[in-house]
Amino acid sequence: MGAWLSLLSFSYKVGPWWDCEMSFGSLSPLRYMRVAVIGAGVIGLSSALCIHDRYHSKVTPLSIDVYADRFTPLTTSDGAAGLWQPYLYDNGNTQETKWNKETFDYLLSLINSPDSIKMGIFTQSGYNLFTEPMPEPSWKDIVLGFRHLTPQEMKMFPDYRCGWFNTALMIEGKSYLPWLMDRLNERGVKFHQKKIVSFRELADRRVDVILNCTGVRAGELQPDPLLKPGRGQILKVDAPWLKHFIITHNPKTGVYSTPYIIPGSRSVTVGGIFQVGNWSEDNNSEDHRKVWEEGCCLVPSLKNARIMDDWTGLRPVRSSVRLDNETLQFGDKQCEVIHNYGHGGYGLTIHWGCALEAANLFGKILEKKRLTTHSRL
Amino acid sequence: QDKVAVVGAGVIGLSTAVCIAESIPSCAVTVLAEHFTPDTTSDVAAGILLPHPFPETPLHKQRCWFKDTFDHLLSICNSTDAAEAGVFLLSGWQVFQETPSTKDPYWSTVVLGFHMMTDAELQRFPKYKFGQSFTTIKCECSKYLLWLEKRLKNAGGQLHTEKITGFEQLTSSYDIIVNCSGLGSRDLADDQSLYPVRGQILRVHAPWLKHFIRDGNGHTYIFPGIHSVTLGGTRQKHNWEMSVDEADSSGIFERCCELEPSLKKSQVCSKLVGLRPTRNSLRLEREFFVHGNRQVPIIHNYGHGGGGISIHWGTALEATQLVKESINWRNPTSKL
Repeated sequence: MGAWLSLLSFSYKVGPWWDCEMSFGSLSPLRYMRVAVIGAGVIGLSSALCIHDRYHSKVTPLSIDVYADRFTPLTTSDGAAGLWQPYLYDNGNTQETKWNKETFDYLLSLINSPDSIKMGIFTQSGYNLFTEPMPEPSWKDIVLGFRHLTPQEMKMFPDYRCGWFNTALMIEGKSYLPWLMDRLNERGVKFHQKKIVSFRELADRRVDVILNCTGVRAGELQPDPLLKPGRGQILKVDAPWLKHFIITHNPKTGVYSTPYIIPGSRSVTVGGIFQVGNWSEDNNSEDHRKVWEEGCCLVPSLKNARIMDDWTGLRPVRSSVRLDNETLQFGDKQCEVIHNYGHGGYGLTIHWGCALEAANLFGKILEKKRLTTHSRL
Repeated sequence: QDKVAVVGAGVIGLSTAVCIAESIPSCAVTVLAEHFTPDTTSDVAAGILLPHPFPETPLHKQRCWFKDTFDHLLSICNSTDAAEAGVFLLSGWQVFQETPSTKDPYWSTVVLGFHMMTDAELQRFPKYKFGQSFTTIKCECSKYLLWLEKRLKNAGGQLHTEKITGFEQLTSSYDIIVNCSGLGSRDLADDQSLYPVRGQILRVHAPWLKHFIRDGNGHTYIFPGIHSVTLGGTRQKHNWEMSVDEADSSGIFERCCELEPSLKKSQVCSKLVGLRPTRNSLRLEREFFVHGNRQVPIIHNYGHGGGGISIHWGTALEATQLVKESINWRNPTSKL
C-alpha cells in the first residue's frame, strides 16, 4: 500500500514512448484514444483491465488514466467481506444474474492458478438461514453443491426454521485491488489521486471515453435519484476457528439488516447493518452493539473472540446496476461516457460480468467512431 | 471414596477420567502419565472426526462410539466453550480415484449434510471420479486436552507425572485402574497384538483454506485447523521411528499441493510424528489384576489406532460404565 501512495503523488508514467500529449489531427482518430476511468474500486480497476486487454491491440495507442480520490485500502471494495453472493432474487433482471454467473465462473477458473492467493480468491462454504420457507435463489445453480439444510443441521440454529448450504467463493478486496493495480501498472495504465468534479474537466483534456465507476458518489457528477447510500457497519473479529459463512435473512427488514458472519483470510467479518439514505461514514456505537450482540447470539463461540476493528462503508444502492453509455457534448468537444455504478452490496460478486459488458460498450463506441471516420472521407 | 487411577493423559485417558469424575461423585480420580499435552500422540493428530475402521469390532459399536463423540463435540462447537476447547465445525470433501465399494458408509448419517459430490464440485479434482461432501468436527488436542485437564480439576480430579511400568505399582493405593496407555499397553498390559502405525504430518500456514480435503485412500489429507493446516500423511505399519523423515515430508507436501495447488504458497511451520496405537479390535473390557492378596479391576481402554479422537467420548462413556459396574461388584451391599 505504501508503494502505491508514494507513486500517486505525481503522475506515474510507464509505457510506450508515444504515450504523451499529441495533437489530435496527426493520427486518425482510431489510432489514438484517450480513456479516463473515474473510480479505483473493484469496478473501475476491473473495467480498465478488461478494456485494455481486449482493445490495446486494436487501438494503438490506447491510453488509460485512472482518477480517484480514494485508492486501496480505503475504497468501499476494501472494507467489504468479499463473499461472492448476490441478493436472493433478481426479480426478472436476468442480465445481472448473467453478470454474477460470469464473475463466479471467472473466479472459479482461477482458483487453482498460481496467483489465486495474491488475488485473494479462495473457496468457502456456509449457511443461509431463514425464519420461514423461501423460494430457491437465482444463483442456486451458479454456486457449488447447493442444497437445503437437514433437520440435524437446523438444530444448530434454534432461532431459524430452514436454510441452505453451498460452497461459494471469496474475493477479498484488500488483496484483489492491489493485484489489479499491479496488472494495470504493467500495462502502462497511470493512476492519479484526484477527485474529478465534472465530466467536462476530462472532456477539456481531450478524453475520448470516460468510464464512470464512481460508486456511491456518482450523483456528484450526474444527479441520479435512483442511487442511494446503503450504509453498512461491520466488526472485524479474531476468531480463526470459524470456517463457514452464516447469513441470516428477514424479508421484512431487508437484505443484510440481520446478522451475518463471514470468515476471511485474516479476520472474521461480523455485520448486519443496511441503512438506506445514511451518508455517515463514522462508526456508530449503537450499531456496534447491535452487530456484536446479534452476532454472539447466532454464534455463541464469538463471545470469547477479540474485536480487532470497526468499519463503516456506503454500499452504492440502486434499483439495478447502471451500465450504459451516453454521449456528452461540451461546446465543440464530444465525449463518450460509459456508466458502471450502483452495484449495491454485490459489487465484488458482479464485477467481472460488468467489466466484460463495459468492454462490449467500449467496442460499440469504437464501431461508431470507425463509421464516423468513414463518413468523413 | 473409591480411588481410581487412570493411566495415560492423551485424549483417551483425560476424557475417560473426566467422564468418571463427573458422573461418579464417589470416585477420587487421579491421572498418571509419563507424557502430558503437548507431548502426547493426540497432540500430533489433526483431530478430524472421521472413523477409523476396526476390522474385528462390531460395526454397531463403532457407530455408537462415533455418534456419542460427534454429538458431544457438536454441543461444544455451538457453545461459548468452543474456542477454548479447540472444537469447531469443518466442511470438506473426501475424494476417490476409484469409486469405493461402500458409497454410503455407516457414519454418513452421523456427520452433517452428507451427500455425493456433484460433477461441478468434482471438476476441481481432475484425477478423482467420485467424492463425498459433508460437514464434520475438528477437535484440536493441543487445546482440547488442556480444557479436559481443567474440567477434571474442577470435578476434583488430580494429575501426576509418573511413568507406570507395571500395574502392581498401583494396586496398593488404588481400588480401580483404568488403562488408557495407548501404545504403552504393549509393555504395560503385555499385549503384543498392539502395534504402531507411524504417521508424519506437516503443519503449514495457509489461513485462506477453509475446507478439509481427504483422499479416500487415507494417504493424503489436508485438514485446516485454528492456526495452521495439517498436511498428511503416512501409514507405516510396525514403524517405531519418532524422528522426522525428509523424504516423507516432501512426499506429503507434493501430494497435498496436487490436491490443493494454493498450498504451494504456504509456509511450513512444523513437522511432527505420531505412532497410532493400532489393534484389530479396540480393547475395551475389564480384567482382574491379582497382586498379593489384592484383586483389582482394570478397565482397559486402548488400541484406538487412527481413530482415537473420533470415538474418544463414546469409549469414555463405556469405560465409565465398566467402572460403575466394578464399584457395584466391590460393594454389593450398596445395591440394597
